[in-house]
Amino acid sequence: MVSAPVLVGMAEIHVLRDSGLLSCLGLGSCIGIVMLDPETGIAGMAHLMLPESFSKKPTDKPGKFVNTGIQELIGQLERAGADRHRLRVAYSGGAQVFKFGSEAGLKLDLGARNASAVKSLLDELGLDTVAIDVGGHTGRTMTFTVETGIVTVRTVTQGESVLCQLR
Amino acid sequence: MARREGHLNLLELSAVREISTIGLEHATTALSELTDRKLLISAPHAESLGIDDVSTLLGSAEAPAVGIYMEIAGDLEGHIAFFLSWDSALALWDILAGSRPKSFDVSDKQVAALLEAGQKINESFLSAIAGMANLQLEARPPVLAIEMVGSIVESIAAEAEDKQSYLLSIKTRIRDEQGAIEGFFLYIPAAGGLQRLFQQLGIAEAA
Repeated sequence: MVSAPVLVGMAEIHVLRDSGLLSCLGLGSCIGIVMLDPETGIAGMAHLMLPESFSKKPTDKPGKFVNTGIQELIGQLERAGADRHRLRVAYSGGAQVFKFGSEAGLKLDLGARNASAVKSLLDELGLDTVAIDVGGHTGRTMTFTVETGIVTVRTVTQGESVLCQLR
Repeated sequence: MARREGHLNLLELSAVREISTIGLEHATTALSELTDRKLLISAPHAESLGIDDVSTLLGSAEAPAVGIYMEIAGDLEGHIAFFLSWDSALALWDILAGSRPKSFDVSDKQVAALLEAGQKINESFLSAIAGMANLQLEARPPVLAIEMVGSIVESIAAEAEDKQSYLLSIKTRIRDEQGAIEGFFLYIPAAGGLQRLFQQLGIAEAA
């Protein structure tokens, strides 16, 4: 049976076990990140908006920021029974969709800032990053099939292609 | 329902809706002049948004669209964007540039035509509001995206969120009589800008 994907909206985090689909639709400057513990079959996806939390008070939406979102995703996976040392990771997005106009190259670098924040945090945490598809001017839909561990990325011009397999 | 932080009350929302209506009438006139077509405008729908609502704001997140986005500085800090579905953009290109792109590869001339149209529409909206409230507006030059509509809206929402704006959308449908052209507006005022606007209009901020 083909099930409808669980849509992971902006600032959201979802965790599934063994089966199902997780999807971030139309990623622009945001980052969609997926993590899987292949041994337990526990997987999760987050849809991160901004590089880091600037507020001192705890946010009600940890998934909004790269730093709090990745920690929260790992926390939820661990509480579900995953081991952080086994996590395999892929992420996508971080684009600058505004390709045209005199100011297009000058600003709106949020996507690049998001991508580099994700990379440095994952490096710091020592997680196994299997594939990265970030940057450029392309909006992306990222979908993860928990059962097979396959991550796909879909764009308007290129259609859907396999980014990697986390199992 | 409890008032969430950063959300507007009914009085504020209705004030925003009212000034937007006037702004939108100006914007529609500008587009009407550009295209030499009679255009219809729907009553603007103003709502306070949660970030969860953003991706589906303009319908199917993956549908290709053209978005012309401008950052607003000055007294009325915020964000404004005008969206056209891909089919509407093609129809607008026929009128403005005399030709339509065969694929998503658009020529410089075609880009320039929509940048200019979008800028004109956005600026007429803004200057109408600024005039009413007697405020100074400075709009940055427009940038344009041809992408999945969700990815454009999302990028603007993230920019707005970064600057701690109210996630408030003013959504309106502008269309011609044949239904060939249909556009949507998204106006996201920054928190400071919106308060200044309310002060100028004599709306006390509710507790």
